[in-house]
Amino acid sequence: MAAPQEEIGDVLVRIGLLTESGYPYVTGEARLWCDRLVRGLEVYEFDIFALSRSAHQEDQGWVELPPQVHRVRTAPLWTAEGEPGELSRRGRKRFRTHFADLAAAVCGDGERQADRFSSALRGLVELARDEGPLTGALRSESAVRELERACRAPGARRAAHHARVPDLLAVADLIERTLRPLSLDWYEEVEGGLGAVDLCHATSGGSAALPGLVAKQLHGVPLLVTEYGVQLRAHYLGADTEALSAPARSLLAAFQGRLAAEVYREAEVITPGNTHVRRWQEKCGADRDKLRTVYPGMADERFAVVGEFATLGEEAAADAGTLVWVGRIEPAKDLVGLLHAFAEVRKEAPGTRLRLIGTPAEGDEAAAYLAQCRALAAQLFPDEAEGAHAVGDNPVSFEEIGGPEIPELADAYAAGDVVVMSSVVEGFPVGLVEAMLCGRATVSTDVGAVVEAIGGTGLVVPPRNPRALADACLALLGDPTRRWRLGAAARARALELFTVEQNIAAFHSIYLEIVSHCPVHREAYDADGEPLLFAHPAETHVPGRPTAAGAGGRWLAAAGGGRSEGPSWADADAEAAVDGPSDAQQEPALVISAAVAHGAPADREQALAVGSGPAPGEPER
Amino acid sequence: MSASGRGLTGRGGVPDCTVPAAGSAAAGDVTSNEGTGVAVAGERRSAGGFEGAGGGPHGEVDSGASAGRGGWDGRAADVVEALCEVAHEVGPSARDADRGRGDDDWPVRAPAVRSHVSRSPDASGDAPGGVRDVEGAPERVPEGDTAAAVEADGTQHAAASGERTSEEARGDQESEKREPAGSAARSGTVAPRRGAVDPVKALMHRHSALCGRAVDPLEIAAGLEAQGMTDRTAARYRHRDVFSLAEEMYARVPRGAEAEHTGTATPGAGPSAPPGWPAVALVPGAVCALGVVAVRLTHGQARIAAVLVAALALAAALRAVLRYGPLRAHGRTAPAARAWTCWLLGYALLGDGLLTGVQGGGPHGPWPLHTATVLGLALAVAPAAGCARLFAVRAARRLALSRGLDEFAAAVRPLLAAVFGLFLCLLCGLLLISGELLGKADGLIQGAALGGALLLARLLTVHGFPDSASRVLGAACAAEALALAAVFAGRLPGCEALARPVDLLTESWGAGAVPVLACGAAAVVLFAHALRRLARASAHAGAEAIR
Repeated sequence: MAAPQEEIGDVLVRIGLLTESGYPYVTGEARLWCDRLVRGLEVYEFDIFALSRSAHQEDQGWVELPPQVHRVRTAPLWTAEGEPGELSRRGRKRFRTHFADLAAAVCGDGERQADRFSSALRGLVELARDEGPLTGALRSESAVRELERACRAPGARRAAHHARVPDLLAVADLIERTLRPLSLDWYEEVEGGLGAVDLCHATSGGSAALPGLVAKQLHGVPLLVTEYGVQLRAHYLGADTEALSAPARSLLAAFQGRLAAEVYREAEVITPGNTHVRRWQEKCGADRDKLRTVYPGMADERFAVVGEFATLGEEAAADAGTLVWVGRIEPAKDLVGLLHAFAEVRKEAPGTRLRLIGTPAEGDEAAAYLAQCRALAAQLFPDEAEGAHAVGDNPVSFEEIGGPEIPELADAYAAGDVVVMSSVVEGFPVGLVEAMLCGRATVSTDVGAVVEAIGGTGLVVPPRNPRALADACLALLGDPTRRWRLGAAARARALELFTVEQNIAAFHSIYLEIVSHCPVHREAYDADGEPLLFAHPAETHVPGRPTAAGAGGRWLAAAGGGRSEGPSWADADAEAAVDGPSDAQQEPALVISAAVAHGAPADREQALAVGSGPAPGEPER
Repeated sequence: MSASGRGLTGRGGVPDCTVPAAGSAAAGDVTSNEGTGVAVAGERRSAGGFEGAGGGPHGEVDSGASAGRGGWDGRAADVVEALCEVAHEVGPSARDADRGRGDDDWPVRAPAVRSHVSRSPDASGDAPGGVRDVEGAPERVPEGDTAAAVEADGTQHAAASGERTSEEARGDQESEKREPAGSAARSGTVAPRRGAVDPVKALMHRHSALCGRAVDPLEIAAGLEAQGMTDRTAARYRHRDVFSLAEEMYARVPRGAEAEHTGTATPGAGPSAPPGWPAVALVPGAVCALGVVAVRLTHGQARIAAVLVAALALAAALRAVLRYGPLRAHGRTAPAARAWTCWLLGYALLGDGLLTGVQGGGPHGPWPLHTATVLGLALAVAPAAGCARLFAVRAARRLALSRGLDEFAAAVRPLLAAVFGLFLCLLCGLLLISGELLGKADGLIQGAALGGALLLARLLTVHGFPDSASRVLGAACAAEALALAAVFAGRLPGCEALARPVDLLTESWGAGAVPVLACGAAAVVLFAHALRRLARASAHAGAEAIR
């Protein structure tokens, strides 16, 4: 393995990247982001600890790894590894005690239960360290029995009282599955173990963060948790608990909630991917001082040509406007609403065209939806021709990327004057950011993280409101100057906030901050393996910055207290505190928050739905 | 004022402030089809499930105070009074202003008069859980909808606590005009609208499935967000964010129905078995029968060949049965158990003859085979599979119905004993039949003990306890081997005493006593073990989860 090109200070900083069903598997979920991160941060050494979700995923293999990836360790989550070892008599007793605590914390309500959960989890971690895998014990009858006792105990939550034997079994089973990372053999303090890394970076919550919790507890390795989607929310929406009864789901939700809270509590820094995730994390008990929003990065090169050459003159020359919609065709995108809105647009501005560029999502439902949209388009808009002898064409066209007219994604956005997004459900709007990178003026619905992404650089209308959508489109179609201005502002904003570089830079500085403030204190040994006295000067045990805020000398408290000189990475909490672009210039990463607050170049373009809900049906105040 | 009079009749007999009987399914349905007229309300009333907690099926609402008698708790009544005060402050002018216009609009308005009956948690009326709507809930008008929306009023959200409602009422004097129900009925209102009077209630109606199955407010929040709700949208429902909206919705979900729902458990179909397993289970018996016939018909070298071929075929058939069907072990298996089983079967076939031969100073040439026992056991493979299936299915059903682990254990132990007894009966029958056919009826107890031990060992393996089963079978093998070895050792000079116990045993009970004792003891131990282990719920969970 190649040595890292650069060392930070005199030490080699090694990051333990914890993934679950993600990087480095080819079919992994966040592999693109992780790959960019690892490639972008050459100065660090990465050890990757990957949990896989299925045998199929393991068979698919890995992506190509850059040289800074030092070692990859994998473990399956879908099957219990090896023989379930038997605990000793004492071990079984300890297990019962801790599992009883865990079950009581899950079944009970109230603040104190969080501490109880935490101590139970710590107990299980220590037990796993002392006695080996807990898989057998977690599946044993004593676990089910403790769970039953906790459910029947006074003070247990209401739903728990109704739990039946199958519910108990299902809950015990899922707890065992979730806690499988505790039984892994990753935690030695030798080369290649999680004990030897300087920082654990969990790329998602839930199971992926569990090894980080263990490493933190056993070796004091600081933990950084990045979440682009909230595990707890995914658990609620997931299909795997659909078949379970209400008591079982209630207990499982409580378990996942407590686990999430514990992860947030132990993490040094939590980086949500957008404000929506951030809100959920706060709701789940994450300390606001630890939250730093780091937006996902998007490759901007392929949109550079289109974005750079979007000029006012070119657009003004176009006589009839073109609306473009890009995305996957599925019911959540509300194309029907878009077509109705377009009908309104056509009343005011005949000659306008609508190009729907995208592919139908997989599944029969999506295909049926596409057919429905086509039928509706044909119904609403008859074919029209330029003259009596020309062949007619429908003003609404369904196209796919890769055809002769639209060879690439950037061309799709370039094809329109205004990019429209009509979704009723959306997470982080990737398509919208692409349109922004292309320098297009956008009209989008107020769903998901749209308002947050667009800032003031596009028009936002309420979802399911074709009239408002049409009004906003008409306003932009009729005003090329405004369109151009909005497009330029959108591109500037996107380049500032949503590029790969800002993502990597943000993580780079977060790594540095954590490593410098929460160093791992390891025993030093000499050549004979004897402990080396005074290997670390006493100063290293002093927290990074003298804090007035106490809180056990935590540097984060200090960071929270002195925000004006606070950490240099994105800090959305500081939105209000940052008072202008001049600050943003000095500290590059602060640009993120500064732009969130002040990113609207044109005041008049304030997004409609920002603030306290203006009237629906009114596109702009 | 004829129109106004119509208004009165239209609104008269307001079926409000009624509290449906707790957990009544009929009441559950009532809210879900939100009425659009008085006629509907009448229907509902006749549909039953409208037992007011305090004051009859429906109290006429002339003022908040009288509404308070109709089954509201004191806190709710306070809220109504507060509302009335507010409405009186705002009311008169608005009412006057509207009356002129309202007359024209009555024909339009009349059919749109709504009566709201809401479910509440239970008849005792626990305030935080439920909502009671009186005619025309306080209209939460979207801001854009400012078309002088004066709405008959008198409902409040008990869920959102009295404080909040009255606060809101004060805060919203400008945008909303509230009136007590009675005066509103007299004044008449306009504002044709599509939504229900209480937007949160309409929202709950729209997401009734989500609300019904949600186990906590966050689940509702997640579901709402997945359907496009944002904090901005939540603002329309007078909530700061989706979470607080979800909390209100969660608090307002009627809980009586839920308890009833969870009260009935549906027994599952049990673990599934692959199709055609009975046929596979019959194969060993058929193979063994063919083998016995072949052995009978052949002599000399051909007989040895026939025995070998039959043994191999039987092993293959047994292997198939253990891999396909109810006897399949999904989890771990103990490899040693296979060897022990082979030894035990081999001893059943050869052991008695060998022991007799050795005791007689032999063996002198080939000794007789106990084919009847082996044939009986091979035929009993099919009943064994059937019994294993029966046990699994019945246990799964018990599991689904049990409320506690002890209850389940108490139900499974007799089941196991019954299934085991059934198998022993069938096994004895088959052994008798095979003995009759082959003319040797002496291997009955021996075969029954061995068959019982093998079935129990397999059941334990199938349900995840292969180690203990393997150990017990190993002990039985050791006992048999020890007996043979002792007899052999007795031939050594000076060691005659070693063979004495076995000799005594065989003298009084015959050569079959050794396997009967070994296998019988093994069966008893295994049965005691199975009663303990298989009564655990976790023993039945693993198999179900994997299948």
